[in-house]
Amino acid sequence: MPNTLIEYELARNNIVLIDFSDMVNMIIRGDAAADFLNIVCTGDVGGLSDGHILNTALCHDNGAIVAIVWILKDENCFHLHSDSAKKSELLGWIDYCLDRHKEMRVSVENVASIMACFSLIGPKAIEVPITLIDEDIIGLQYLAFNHYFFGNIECQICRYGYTGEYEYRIIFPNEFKDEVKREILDSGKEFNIQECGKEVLDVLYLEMKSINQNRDIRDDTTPLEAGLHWMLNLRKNGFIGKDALEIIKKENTYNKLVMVISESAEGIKEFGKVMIMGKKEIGTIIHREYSPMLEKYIALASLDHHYGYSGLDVFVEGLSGDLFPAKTASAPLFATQTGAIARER
Amino acid sequence: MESLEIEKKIARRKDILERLYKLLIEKFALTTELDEISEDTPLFGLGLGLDSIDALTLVFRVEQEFGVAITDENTDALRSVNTLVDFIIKKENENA
Repeated sequence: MPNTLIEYELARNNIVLIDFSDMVNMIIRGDAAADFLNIVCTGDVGGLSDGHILNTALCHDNGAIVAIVWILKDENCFHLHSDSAKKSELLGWIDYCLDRHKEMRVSVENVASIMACFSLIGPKAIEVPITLIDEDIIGLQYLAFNHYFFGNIECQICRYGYTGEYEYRIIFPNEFKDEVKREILDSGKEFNIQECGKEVLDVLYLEMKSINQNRDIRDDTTPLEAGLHWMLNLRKNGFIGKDALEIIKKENTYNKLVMVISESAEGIKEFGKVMIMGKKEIGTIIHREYSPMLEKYIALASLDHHYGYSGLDVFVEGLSGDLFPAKTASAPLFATQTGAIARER
Repeated sequence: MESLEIEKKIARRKDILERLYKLLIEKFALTTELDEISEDTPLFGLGLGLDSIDALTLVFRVEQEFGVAITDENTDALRSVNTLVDFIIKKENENA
């Protein structure tokens, strides 16, 4: 059972405010900015138009994920955002890549210390920006961003996220943090908005099988194992890790991350075994949570390639070490309220 | 679940996935190959990036290919490639 059941209910039914000010936030400029990003990212940055966002990965030469990032194409620059979970690896890797490609005219400015970020998450998350900015915000599509004025504070509002709910990230100069928080919480009162910590994200992400950089990525996890094939553009000219990923894809024996739902009231043991037919070990539990929506224990498992499919009856280790029945499952595990609202719109 | 039953389930799922991937690539001009789509890839937004107009085409093509109708009550099945496969299997089992 999550510590933050109330926060979960609000995130899935109303709005929560989460402080993401410790996120990675960089500005990339220069004639070669797009080319540089196309080398370090697995996705096609060159295809991005102004005001749009690409969710992509940076990989090591061996194909293992360094970090998952959001690339925002602005009028005269790119922004790179990522979770704080992989901050030191990502900053170190960007420095290494800049050094590796010294000949490219590109500058990278780390603005994380001077910018704050609040995220509004939930099916009613749009109501606060409508009040604070104006109704123009309704036109902001998913995977898009724009610059707005909130009073005299210039902010960047981005629509991206992993929870399956509406998510509006508001990025603005750090010095206005207290003022902006006050205004957001006042505007959201009628929707019972609450500020909460990031812990609730673990179960919100897992229910959607959104990769949690803090919990789900090991040192050797590739985008292929993580099921993030859509982040790879293997047709573009060389990016770091491309050769290795092509070999891994061709061999087609990599483990697969698959959702598991336990039929037992006992919790699932993290890093416990996953068995099939009660006796053949086929994988390991990577990350487990309790889903209040499903009222069941759910987990992300790394399974042998051959068994990496949903719809199979398996057994997982409970907290006692005993084996309990479970099923591999398709993701996202359910349709969110936001999904229903978006379809109506 | 006996070994043979497991292998049959896996084989059936792989068959439907391959047919669905081919349909998605051919009918929606996706610039991916068969082995570049993963099963839990979202159909809309992040993932394959289909839009609401594509949804209507997808519903029509799925009915053509698999003989399975997706109605307004079943649109939750369109969350991802995998959830669509679950729906197709469920309907095929009901129709059998």
